[in-house]
Amino acid sequence: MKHKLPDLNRPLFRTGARINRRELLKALQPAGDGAVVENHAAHYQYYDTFDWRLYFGDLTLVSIESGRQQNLVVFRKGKSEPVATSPGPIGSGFVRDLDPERLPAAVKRLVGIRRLIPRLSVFTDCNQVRIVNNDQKTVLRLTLETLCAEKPGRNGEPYAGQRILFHPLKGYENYQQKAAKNLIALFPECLDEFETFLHCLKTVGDRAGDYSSGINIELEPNMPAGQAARQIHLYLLEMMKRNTPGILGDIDTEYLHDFRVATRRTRSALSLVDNEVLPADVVSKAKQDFQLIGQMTSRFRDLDVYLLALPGYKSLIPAEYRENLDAFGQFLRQQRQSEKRNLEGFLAGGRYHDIITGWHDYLAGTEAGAGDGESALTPVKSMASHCIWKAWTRLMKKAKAIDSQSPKERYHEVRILAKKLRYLMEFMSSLYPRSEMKAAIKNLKKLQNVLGEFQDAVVQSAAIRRYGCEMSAAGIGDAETLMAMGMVAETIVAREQIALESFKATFDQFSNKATRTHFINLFSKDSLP
Amino acid sequence: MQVLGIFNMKGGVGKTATAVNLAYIAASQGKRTLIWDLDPQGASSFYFRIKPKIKGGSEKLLKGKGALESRIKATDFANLDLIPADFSNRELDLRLAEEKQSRLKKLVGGLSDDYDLMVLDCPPSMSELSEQIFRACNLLLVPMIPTTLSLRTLEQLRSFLKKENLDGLKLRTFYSMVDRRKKIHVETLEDKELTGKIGLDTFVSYASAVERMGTERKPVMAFSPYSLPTLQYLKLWDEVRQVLFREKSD
Ligand SMILES: Nc1ncnc2c1ncn2[C@@H]1O[C@H](COP(=O)(O)OP(=O)(O)OP(=O)(O)O)[C@@H](O)[C@H]1O
Ligand SMILES: [Mg+2]
Repeated sequence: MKHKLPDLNRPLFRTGARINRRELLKALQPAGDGAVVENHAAHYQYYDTFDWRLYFGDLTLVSIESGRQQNLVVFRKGKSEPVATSPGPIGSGFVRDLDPERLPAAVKRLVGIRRLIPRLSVFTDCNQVRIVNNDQKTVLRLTLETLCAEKPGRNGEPYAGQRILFHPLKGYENYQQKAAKNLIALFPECLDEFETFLHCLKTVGDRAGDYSSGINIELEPNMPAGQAARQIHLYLLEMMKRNTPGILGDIDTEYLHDFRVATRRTRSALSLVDNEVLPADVVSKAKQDFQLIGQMTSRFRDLDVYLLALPGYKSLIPAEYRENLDAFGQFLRQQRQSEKRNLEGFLAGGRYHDIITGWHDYLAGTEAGAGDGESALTPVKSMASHCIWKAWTRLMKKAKAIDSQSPKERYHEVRILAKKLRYLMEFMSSLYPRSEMKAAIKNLKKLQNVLGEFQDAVVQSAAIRRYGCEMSAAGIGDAETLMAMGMVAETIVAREQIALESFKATFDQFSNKATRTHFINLFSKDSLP
Repeated sequence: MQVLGIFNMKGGVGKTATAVNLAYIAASQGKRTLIWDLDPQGASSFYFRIKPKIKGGSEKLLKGKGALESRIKATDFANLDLIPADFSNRELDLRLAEEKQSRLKKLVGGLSDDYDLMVLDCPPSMSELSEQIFRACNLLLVPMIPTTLSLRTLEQLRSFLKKENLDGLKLRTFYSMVDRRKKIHVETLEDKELTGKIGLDTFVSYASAVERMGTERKPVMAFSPYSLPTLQYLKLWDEVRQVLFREKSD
């Protein structure tokens, strides 16, 4: 067998049956006269956020424990040298609790307010080998590592492979080169730290980056609309299920957020598509069920939102008043604590369980045509174009009708229409040319952003007022706290106006000829008569 | 990077023992250390089990960029590298005579990002090479056997430095291979006037552990960590460290 010259900057890797120290030394024999071997064990615990932000940023963060030493080490894809090392454990997993000096800016930026959670454990058995020449001078240092991987919190430790780590010795590079050549038959691959992590992850049946809060549904244009609707709903249901353990473990606030987005998308699909595709009684029951799920999770989510927003609120008011908001934070945390029990009770309870399993059983039901609505057999593409076209026309009509004098409710309605249109386009995007769809969604997004800012301002200032009332009723926080909250509400109210003023210009752009033509070309053609 | 030259034109006074042991201690305390064996006899290379370079190329060394760096060898100890002796360093002396006076300083400076400390183990002579060493050093450390004769050598060195406008160079001396059984050693050590001129408080005793370095082929601390010479070299390093790095004693 002929092999390429190994890349000496990367560890040599083998996945075949384990070799032992004796076999290794035999392969190394031509390199030197004698060998000294020491043994130790190490534990690698890999971390990333629930949605794999470090992985997508080409980084891995690993806590390496060996002997009495523990270090947090960051590696970049394609590089063998760590980009950062800092001593000590990971702690809470929030970047704010990590050593800011020693953590690369990229880690802080990527992780943000998310939490680093354990993704993989790798236990290694290390044989450190030292080859000496006839003067008993060390001319080569390497470690044979045997890797066993396991999912955090599970047992098993399946064997993941073995690797050779060279420890370069200045002036003795030729020994390393020779050794690598002798070892390449036993260790035919070169994996850097990033690739090693991905490989070990695979051996426990996981895949990095398998989390996405975006929609990625593959539909066929001629597929019956009924079948497509079921596929979309199953996808959304799966998203809800996947986020539930993270909510119950209170690991990261984003799990509940994504859970609720999936709920909203489900409701949106029910109202826009399904009344023609699924039977009316099924749709109306599902609407009620998912509305209930939305309601039962909303207060907890709000508390998360305001807790996360609190540092930002502080920066809105003069420094001398900021401390007064601490009582507000305390109130939110207290509320969250008690609301958590309600949420857990609901998600673990029979009602929720029945909704989810019932919905799943209906969607996965196999009898063809059974339990479908009238248009269930229409090809999905024409159904999609029809629904998107309808939603777009309605949005345009409503949006055109408002001006700066219109009541807030009108803006609210337009916002809802835009959101529903957006969800619909995302469900169906695989049916249209990728770049065209992307451009259309981008235009819509700009409009949504302005409406979102307006809505946030309305909702937040009202919520702060409401929390203020709750606090004074419960005797929490003094007059100064309430005053500081008032100041925050006031600056937020001012944003309403700013958002309103930019609405017109944004909508003009959204309804200009080019954007209109783009929508018309994309959706009016296949649309149902 | 600080450059420490261990120098004495007299032979067999403990220069190499000092260079090897101080470099080892500095490295063990975390200083990235490089020891350059400038003596063609290759004694310090031998202590680290590193083979001297037989076919030289002093010409290349002086001309080629990175030529010095490519000669560096890792020792068996963390943070400690060595440039082995080169049999053609005799030639180096002659070649340097044709070069600028600051040639060696420039060569050494090329490694200043890679190391915190460079220790030069010098051959026993007074030559063009030694002059260039003086220019490259931050501190010249002179081991001396405590006899009146060696004190005269020190006077000669001082007047030479003055003549060459090198009196800005920091110079420290200490007594080496002190043997209490020898009357002359005891007398010299107790002579307050002489001791005043010496510079450092620490002295290193004559001890069999240092001689054993030749058979162990390791710095004394690596095989005899609690011996008297180990403690004395630790103390000596503490004094030198304060001169070089202005670090407070622990
Ligand atoms: N403190 C000491 N106690 C006992 N023996 C010593 C001591 N210091 C050095 N020696 C021994 O004395 C001899 C000369 O020492 P060393 O090689 O260090 O001196 P040097 O000044 O470098 O010599 P040269 O000028 O030949 O390079 C060596 O054999 C060494 O082992
Ligand atoms: Mg010597």
